[in-house]
Amino acid sequence: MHEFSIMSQLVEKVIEEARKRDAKRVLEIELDVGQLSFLNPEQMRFAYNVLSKGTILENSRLIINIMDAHVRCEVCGFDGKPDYVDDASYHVSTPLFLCPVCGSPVEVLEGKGCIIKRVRLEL
Amino acid sequence: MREHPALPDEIEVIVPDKGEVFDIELEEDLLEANRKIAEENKQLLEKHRIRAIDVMGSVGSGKTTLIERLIGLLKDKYRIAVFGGDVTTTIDAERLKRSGAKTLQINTGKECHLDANLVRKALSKIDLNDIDVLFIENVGNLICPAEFPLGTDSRVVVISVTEGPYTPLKHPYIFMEADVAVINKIDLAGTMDVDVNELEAKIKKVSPDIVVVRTSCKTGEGIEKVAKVLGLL
Repeated sequence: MHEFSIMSQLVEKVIEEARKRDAKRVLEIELDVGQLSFLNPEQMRFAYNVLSKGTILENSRLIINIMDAHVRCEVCGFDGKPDYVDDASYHVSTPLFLCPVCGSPVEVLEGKGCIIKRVRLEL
Repeated sequence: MREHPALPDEIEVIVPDKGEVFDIELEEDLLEANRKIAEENKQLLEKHRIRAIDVMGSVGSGKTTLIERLIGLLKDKYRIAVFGGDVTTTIDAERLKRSGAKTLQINTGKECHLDANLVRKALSKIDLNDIDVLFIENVGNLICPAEFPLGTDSRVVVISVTEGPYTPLKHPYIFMEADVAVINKIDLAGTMDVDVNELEAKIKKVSPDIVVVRTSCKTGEGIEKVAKVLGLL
C-alpha cells in the first residue's frame, strides 16, 4: 500500500546520485527487498514506471531481489530462516517468530529492509 | 527534506569516459530514513519525559473510543495530548477534543499510515513541556503502520471481535511489531460467535511476547488493565 511513497524516495535518491556523476541516463536499478517487508514487487514496479516517466530513469530496468528472512534464537543459538505456517485458506505463508528448534521467541536479524544495491548509469 | 548521507568511503570512484556504462553500489535502505527520524522522535520525547503510545488497528476496531476511555481514566493524573491520524477528516480529533485532551489532527492526505516525519512535524507544533502522556492514533489500517515506527514507547494494536477470528493470522506483522494487543468489543463475542480464547491464542502464536488485554470500550471493561500494562497506572 505504501509502495508509492517508497518508490518516490527511490527515484529521488537515484536522480540525486546520477546528477552527482553527471550521468546521461539510468539504465538499471537493483533492489534487495526483505521477505518480511510489506512491499509488493508488482506494485513497486507499477509505481516505478509511473514515477520514472519524464526523468532520466525512464525505461530503465528495475531488478527486485526478494531476500530471505534471517532470525536468531538467544536461547538455543539457532541462526537461520524462520518457520512458516502454510495454510491454504490464507493464500500466503505466514512467518512464525518462534525458534524452529526450541520454540523460544526469535530476534529478526534480516528481512525487513528495502535496499538500493546498485545503480547502472550511462555517462 | 532530509540530508542524504555522503557516499561511503570504500567506494572507489573511477572516472569514466563519456557514454560509458558505470555501476555504483549504494546500500541505501529506503525504510531506514523513517527509522532514523523515529529514533530522533523517541529521544525528543524522552528528553521531555513524555510517554508516547502509538494506537494502531482497523477502521472501526475502537481506537478512538479506547483513547477516549483512557483519557477519562487518566486525565486527573496526567496532562494528556492526542495526535489523530486520518486520511482526510477531523471526525476523530473533534471527538477526542471533547474528552478533554489537547488534540492535534494529522491528515496524511493520500497515505495509508502515519510516518515518523509527520509525527516530528506535529511534535514541533505543541508545547512538549506541557504534556506527560501522548496518544498517537494511527490511520485505520493493519498493514502499513507496522512498517513505520513513529518513535513511541509502546505500540498498541486494537482489534475487535466483530472483525472475525482470522485477523491475527491474516495480518501477523502488525502483531509482531506491537507490544500490546487489545481485543475489543468482547461484549459482542457471543453474538459474533467468536471464541476470545482462541483469538488470543492466535495472537500469541504470531507474536509470542505480546501482552493481550480484553476490553469492551462500550462498558469500560478492561480499560484499567490497558492503562496498567502501558505503565500508566
